[in-house]
Amino acid sequence: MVSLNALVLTCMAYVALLFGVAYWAEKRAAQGQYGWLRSPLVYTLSISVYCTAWTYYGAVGSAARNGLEFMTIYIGPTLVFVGWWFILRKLVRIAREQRTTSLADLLSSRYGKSARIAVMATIFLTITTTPYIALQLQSLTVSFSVFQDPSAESASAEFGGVTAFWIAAGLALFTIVFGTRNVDVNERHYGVVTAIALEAVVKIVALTSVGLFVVFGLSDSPAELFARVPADSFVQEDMFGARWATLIFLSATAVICLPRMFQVIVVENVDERHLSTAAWAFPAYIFLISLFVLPIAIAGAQVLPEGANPDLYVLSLPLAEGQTGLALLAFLGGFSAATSMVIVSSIALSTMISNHIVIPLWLRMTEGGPRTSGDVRSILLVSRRVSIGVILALGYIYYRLTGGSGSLAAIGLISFAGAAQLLPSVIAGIYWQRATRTGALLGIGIGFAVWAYTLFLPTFEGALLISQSVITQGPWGLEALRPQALFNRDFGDPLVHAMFWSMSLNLLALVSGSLLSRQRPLERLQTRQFVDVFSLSAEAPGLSLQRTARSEDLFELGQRILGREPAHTLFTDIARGQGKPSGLPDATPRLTETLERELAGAIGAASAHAMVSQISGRGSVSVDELMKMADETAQIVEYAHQLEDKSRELEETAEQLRRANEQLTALGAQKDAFLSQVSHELRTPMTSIRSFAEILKDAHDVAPDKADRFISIIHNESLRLTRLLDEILDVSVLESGRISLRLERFEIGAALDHAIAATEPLRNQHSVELALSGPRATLVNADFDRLAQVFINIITNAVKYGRGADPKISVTVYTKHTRVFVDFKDNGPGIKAADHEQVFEKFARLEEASLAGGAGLGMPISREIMRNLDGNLTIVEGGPGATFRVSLPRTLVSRAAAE
Amino acid sequence: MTEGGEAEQPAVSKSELPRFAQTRRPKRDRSRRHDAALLVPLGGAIALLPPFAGFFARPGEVFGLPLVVVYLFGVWLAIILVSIRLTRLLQQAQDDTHDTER
Repeated sequence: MVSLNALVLTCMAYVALLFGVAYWAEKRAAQGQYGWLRSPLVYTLSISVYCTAWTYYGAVGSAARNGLEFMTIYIGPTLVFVGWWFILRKLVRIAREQRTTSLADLLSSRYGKSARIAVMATIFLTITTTPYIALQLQSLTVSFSVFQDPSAESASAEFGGVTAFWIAAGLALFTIVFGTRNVDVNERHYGVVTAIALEAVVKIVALTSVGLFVVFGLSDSPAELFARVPADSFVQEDMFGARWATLIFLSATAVICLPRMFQVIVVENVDERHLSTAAWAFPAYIFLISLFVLPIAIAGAQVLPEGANPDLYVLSLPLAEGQTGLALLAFLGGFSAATSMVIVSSIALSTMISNHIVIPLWLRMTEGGPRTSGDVRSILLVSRRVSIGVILALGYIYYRLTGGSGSLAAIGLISFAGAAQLLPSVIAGIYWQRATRTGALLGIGIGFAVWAYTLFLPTFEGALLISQSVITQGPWGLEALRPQALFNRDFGDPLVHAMFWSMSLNLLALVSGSLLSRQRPLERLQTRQFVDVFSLSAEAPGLSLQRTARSEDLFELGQRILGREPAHTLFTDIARGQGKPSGLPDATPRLTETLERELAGAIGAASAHAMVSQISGRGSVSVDELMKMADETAQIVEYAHQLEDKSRELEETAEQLRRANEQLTALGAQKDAFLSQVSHELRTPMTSIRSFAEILKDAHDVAPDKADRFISIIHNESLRLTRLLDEILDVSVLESGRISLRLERFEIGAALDHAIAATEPLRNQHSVELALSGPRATLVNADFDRLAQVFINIITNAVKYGRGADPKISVTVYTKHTRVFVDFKDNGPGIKAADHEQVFEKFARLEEASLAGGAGLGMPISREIMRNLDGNLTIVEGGPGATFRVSLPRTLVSRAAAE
Repeated sequence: MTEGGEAEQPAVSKSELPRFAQTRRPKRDRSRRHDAALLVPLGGAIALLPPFAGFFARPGEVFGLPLVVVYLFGVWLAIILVSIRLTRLLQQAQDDTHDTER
């Protein structure tokens, strides 16, 4: 038998070890040497805080009483963890993006940073957890008493109270020291998590050791052990019924909704990838934990005397067999299970209480002058420390009031059922766009009310709020409203009954409340960041409220909550991001948003929002943001619009391409035609040049006058060739804009005179009359030769193609504003409107007219010249005859100067 | 068995396939992994909940152990083993796509 003193000493040593480990981990984390502090292994082990003393001792007790039912408590979490991809992964991601500090914070943040929902969830979770903490204290005390001399029965009660008190005090001390060392922006506690991981190892080693001892020390093999009980003792008629399913559902929700589970799985998660390891490693851990439960239960019932408490088989079995060391190990395992649960739960609850109850109250009290009311950090820390003390004190008081009563044993499941009331709002919050704050408040409120009425209060057997008569006969004698048999149906089990009604009414209230209410702008923003968390974090900029405050004010606020150094780092980083090398960042809505998010990591989303709003105003949502938030239908519509635009654009492009292609084809055809004509044209003079040259070369007896004629033909033909080649050259020079113009100022009449004189032989040849009228003295600034060339071309063209009967060309000069115009009008057949542009196409002649010495380049060349002179050459619509119009800028200033 | 295996072998080696055909495979694989992620908890729940679990609630022994005990622990272990493999695949898929999938 181990003496009590030795036991206490062992405990002290173990606690000292935990302190040491936690201290060492904190120190390493502070130095940035995380190493395996941030490993998936430590993460997984810390999740084993799920296995409390209730499961450590109670699982064996449950197995001894109800057979396989204990497995349900482990199957639920297994299913949730292997389905990590759907719920846990999303929760972890959201919590990281939103700096969530607790489940209450998550709910509040999702439903528009609502303070009301946070307070509600905090109170309910405190109510469900306090009895659970009391249960741990009781387990610890009872496990101590196992080692006590049974003969000292009388001192037992007194001893239990004292032990429980000191345990509670010790746990409070540990939690305060390592749980509230600092206000961390990420609310992570490396010391605590590492200590919990160590305790997890102790737990599993202890239970497995006892299990191995039972299986191989007290019997030959598992089969032999199982053979000791009747074969059909595990097969009960109604084992796999509603209660089995309900328990699995409850334990599955518990792993998400219990404050301590949310703390270790979501808040303390440092790397999302760890979750994928925990997804199988945690189920494997609880698989191992439950593997030896049945053997221990069977052996306990066989070996220990009738009436021994099955809940303590784990301890009493080794003791009865004289295995003191093993018993001590088993005791430490239970001690670990209980302490880790209490530590993590009280940290989670104290965070909630300080963030969602104390800080909002303090904000309200100091409204108007929060800037002068001291350091928020100290208030946070003090309130957390006090909360931890209060929570443990409550647990202790609860234990003292109900201590030893059988009702306490049921508390574990009742606590699960209470926390499960938050589940619908959590799941709807991360998957359902339309879930609103009103719906969540109604759902949680009604769920808790039904839970309290049908499950929680009846366990007090009339001692709290509702009397025994109400429980058995219903309020006001209405049997249909009996707490454990609403509408006279009891489902055969109070737990199943309570879960059925609370969950259905909870869901009903959540859904109908959501459908009948509207989301406020902030809530819509948050909804999107929750529901679409995976697609949003891919695009960098999220959505934010349009509100700003002076950077100085924001910095001061940040400093008061985050501390001087972290706030400075945060603001410097943001300023760098904005491209400012020094000083405070610019006050943008994004800065406000970022700060609020960082603050949320310390004091919760609702409080952070309230504090930032105090200095920045409530803010609004811009139309732009609203558009982005618009529901999926609108997104699809917008997408379709974009597609439509795109396809229209494509159609236009295709049309342009088609037109360009047509032009190119036509141009190619023109070029081909021209080339054949040019080569034909070139060949005619070339042929005559060659043949006359050959005659001159071969025949030596050509008469001199004949030879002279031949040579002059050769000369003329060469001139024609040269002219043709000149024209082609001209076009290419003009088109590429490389022409060099000799600009001078002259009267336009001079150029006209030159052209008229130059074309006189041609006109006389065809007896074409020409009349010139208008202000011929108008000054222009142009290249005289080129302009004259244009006029010659036009007149020649008119003589060639525009001759009617009694051919006549009238040339009219007139001015309009800053320009001078010259119209050349003939009385010929005119040009069809459709052919207007073609006249200016290179190499084009209308209606296969003969070349008449030109290659059809005259008009295109003329137009290019005019365009190079800042003028133009066009054909005027309407007949009779054709009218070519030359336009040019006139030189006004110089004329004024001349006058 | 071998016939089925051969039938699945593509006639051309993967690198010879056009680009679009190459990229299709991993994509289909990924969505299959996501579906499998649902299958494990769902299948586990069906196997461990009534009425399915009730089919094994009858007398019987496997290796000297009660049938129902072996069944429950067996399913449990199978779920763990499958998810060891699956989580690895899922994590890979996630790393490949840089979290762009939902």
